[in-house]
Amino acid sequence: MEDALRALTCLMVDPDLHGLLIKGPAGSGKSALIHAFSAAYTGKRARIVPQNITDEQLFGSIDLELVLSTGEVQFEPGILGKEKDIVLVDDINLLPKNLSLALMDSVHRGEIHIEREGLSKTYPCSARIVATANDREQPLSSGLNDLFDMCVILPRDPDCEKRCAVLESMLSESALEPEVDKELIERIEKAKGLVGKIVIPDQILEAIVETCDMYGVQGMRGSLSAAMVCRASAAIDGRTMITEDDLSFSLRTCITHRRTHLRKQTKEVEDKVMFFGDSHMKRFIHDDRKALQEKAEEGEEGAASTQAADFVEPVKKTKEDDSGPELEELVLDMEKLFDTIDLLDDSRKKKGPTDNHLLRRFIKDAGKEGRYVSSCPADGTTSDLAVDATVRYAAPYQNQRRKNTGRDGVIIMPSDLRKKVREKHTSCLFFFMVDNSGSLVLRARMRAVKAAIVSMLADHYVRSDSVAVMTFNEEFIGMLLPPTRSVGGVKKIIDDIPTGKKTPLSEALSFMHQYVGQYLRKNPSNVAFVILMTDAGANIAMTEGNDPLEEALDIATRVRLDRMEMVLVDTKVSTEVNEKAKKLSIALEAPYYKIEDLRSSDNILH
Amino acid sequence: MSGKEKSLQFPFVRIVGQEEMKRALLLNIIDPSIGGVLLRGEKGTAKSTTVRSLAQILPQVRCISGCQFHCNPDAPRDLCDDCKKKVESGEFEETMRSMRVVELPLNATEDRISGSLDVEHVLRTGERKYEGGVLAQANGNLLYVDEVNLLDDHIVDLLLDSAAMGRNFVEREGISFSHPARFVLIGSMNPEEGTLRPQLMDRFGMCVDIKTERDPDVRVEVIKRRLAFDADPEGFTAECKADVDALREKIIAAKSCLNEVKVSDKVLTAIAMISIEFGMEGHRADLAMIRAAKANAALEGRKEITFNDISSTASLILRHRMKSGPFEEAEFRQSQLDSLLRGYLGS
Repeated sequence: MEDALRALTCLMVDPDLHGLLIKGPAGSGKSALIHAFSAAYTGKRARIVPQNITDEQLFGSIDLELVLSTGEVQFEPGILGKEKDIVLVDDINLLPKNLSLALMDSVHRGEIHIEREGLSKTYPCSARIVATANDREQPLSSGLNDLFDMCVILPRDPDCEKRCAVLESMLSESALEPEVDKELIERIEKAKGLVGKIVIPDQILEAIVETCDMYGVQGMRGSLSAAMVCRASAAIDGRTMITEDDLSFSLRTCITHRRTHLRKQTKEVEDKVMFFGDSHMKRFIHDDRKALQEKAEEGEEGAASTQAADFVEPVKKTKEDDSGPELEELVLDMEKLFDTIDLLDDSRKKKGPTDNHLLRRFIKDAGKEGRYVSSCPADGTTSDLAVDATVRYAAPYQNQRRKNTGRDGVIIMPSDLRKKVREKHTSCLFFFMVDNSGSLVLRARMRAVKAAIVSMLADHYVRSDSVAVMTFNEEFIGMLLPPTRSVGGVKKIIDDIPTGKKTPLSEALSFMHQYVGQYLRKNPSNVAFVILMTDAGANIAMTEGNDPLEEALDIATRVRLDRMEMVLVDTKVSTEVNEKAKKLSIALEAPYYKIEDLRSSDNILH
Repeated sequence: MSGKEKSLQFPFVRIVGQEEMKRALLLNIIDPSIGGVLLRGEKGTAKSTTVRSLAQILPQVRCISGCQFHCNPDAPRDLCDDCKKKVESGEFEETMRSMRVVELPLNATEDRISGSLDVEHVLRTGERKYEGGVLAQANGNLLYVDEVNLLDDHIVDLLLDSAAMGRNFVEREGISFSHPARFVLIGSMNPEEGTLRPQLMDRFGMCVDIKTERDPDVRVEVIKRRLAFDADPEGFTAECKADVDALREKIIAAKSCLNEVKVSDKVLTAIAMISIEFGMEGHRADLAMIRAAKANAALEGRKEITFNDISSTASLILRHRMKSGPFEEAEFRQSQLDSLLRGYLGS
């Protein structure tokens, strides 16, 4: 909480800081905190960007009411242009990517540039963006993450008493008028005056740059943000000297969401220990590690790390003791911790090569979904009216009509009505569901699975498609690679698929059902292909006492979804027919293939 | 990243490192027919900052007064219909204007790109009038598309058509119109966010792969300069004005002597052989290589093309055109290029 509060304050102090991202599970008080802060600082709640916002509402548009009533064309700024203080974007990970990018780009440039629907305009914007994200299901792209200067992760409060206190305050807050916190305002105003006078020593800048490099932060924005946060943080406390705490805070908030995990750099890190030899940095490393460890223990990532830890080396939690382990060890331990935390979402951070054969699939006139690309005459029954186009079509006749009818304003006749033509592309999710249980433990067989995945992708991958890899065995059922478009990373991930343990087939099927179902609901224009790669040697049931295979077959009949197709690839290498897998494919109504069948030219998905 | 003073951009001459990107941009300003630049690279590598800062060093060009496409009387083939008549009759006034960086926002719609009916004008007067869009503004300028890989496909097609023909054809809402649209297309993208269609990739004359500076000292310098700029944009800009002016003069000089740079048969053969060796399809790459080498020689004030002119620019043209499979990328090797070149030119 303190970090989040401090980050919010920093945001108000330095006008060159534009964005704060608050991550955390539902119910961790993300929005409440932002509203409370906004109320204390500006006397009103933060302005919210709703999920279904259009480009027009956000960036501005022509005031249609005025056009229709008087014929005058006047510009109406959007939420982003009107708000001078805090704009709150809840669940930014669920907004369309292009909208979020345009939003962040506008605040960074300090101006909004519109070229839409007959409107061309550039006007200033000074809003600060505070966004929340619960990116466990739909991760934010790394490019978007980078556009936020700071990021704070809020853990859910497990303490019952605290929860009650939160509830109480929420109930009472709604009854009371938000009250301005004079002290806070004074502090921020004072800091604003101070921030320009602070000179950041070279030593601090070097530390920032080195640390960013150590965590594989790409680009310069991370270091730059950290430098500015350092300054703002000192200014808040009324100091012109930057302390270790400022440095530690700035690195914590500016690196969290930008680090890419770089395991191969372990050796390099050892070399860098030399650099961290001075006592100044010793403190910092210690602080950072502690904070991150706390986060890992309490926060949502904690869960991920324990899950991930099952197939990586166990995490060694070092004692938080100043006289404790050698500095070198500390650095390495920190590295290890990041490794395990990041393993699951690491894949999307790896860069993929560019693909070169593409097919595009379009649906024009896609009902009311999709993007508005042009207009056509309305047939009289449409509810999806293209108002701007209608006005444009009616425009040339206005003089005549005004003369004829003697009325003012814009006169629209039924023949002017235009409706929107929308376009969207369907894209497809290739969902690989890989059985990495003991029955597949033979290295050679796993290699065959990997080769099959790669060859299938080579055949069927087109640009707008995403790929996801899910694995299941006794210890871990879940996404090794959440849906991504960067197909290049897939190969690396596939190379790293670990194997071992028993086969909980039924649980895996229901996990897939839930995950793909959620994905399809979120992406209504997508279809999913599930490629189940298993030998169907189920030997763990969900309910104790059930026959594992029977249970899996039963579940298999109930996992069907609209817009989802399944294919079963039998990974058992034998000349005989694998009865279990055959049965499963019938229950799933999925075509059955043997892994040997999958040569690069086979066309099983179309 | 922008300072308090929104109209000021970080000065081009104070951007640290990224020499390849800067060179590619300069060459395209000197000779727009090279065909634009695609900047590919990690986020936060000063792609947008650099492109936006170009505005300061762009030279002035002639333009016919009152033309919304700012037609240049020096280019008789690329005039709009009105200006054509004016130039033929010899009755026109002209002014000088600075070239601009026109930006295409990610969420732009078709009507504002190709232009459409001027609603306000029509409502007021009842007269149909065409109002130019982004392509009209871009004529004779630089057109910058940030996150070009995320642009909607129908928008990309629109851009490609105009870029290929040098003219924008508008057929919508009862308007039938065409106007010149010659521009230097500059795109930037982060490959992690998705790839670019190969058709579009091939349209870019050059492609620069941008890497983050790794040297800590350089990185510290980057932060220092940025903070200094943010603290006092006017002062920072004023302080480097001499350098900016010098660079602009250099560009103007290079532009004016571009046609005097000779392309020997030896150079032509060398470039043709490089093209064959690297498996280039069509002649776009060959032409771009010659133009880039010429522009590079002109920028350095020479009238002969040297080994270095080709060696340092060819990679920008070849790299993104090399054929690669879905899972492996064909690799461009500078050493291969250099040894080939040495064979033909003698170094």
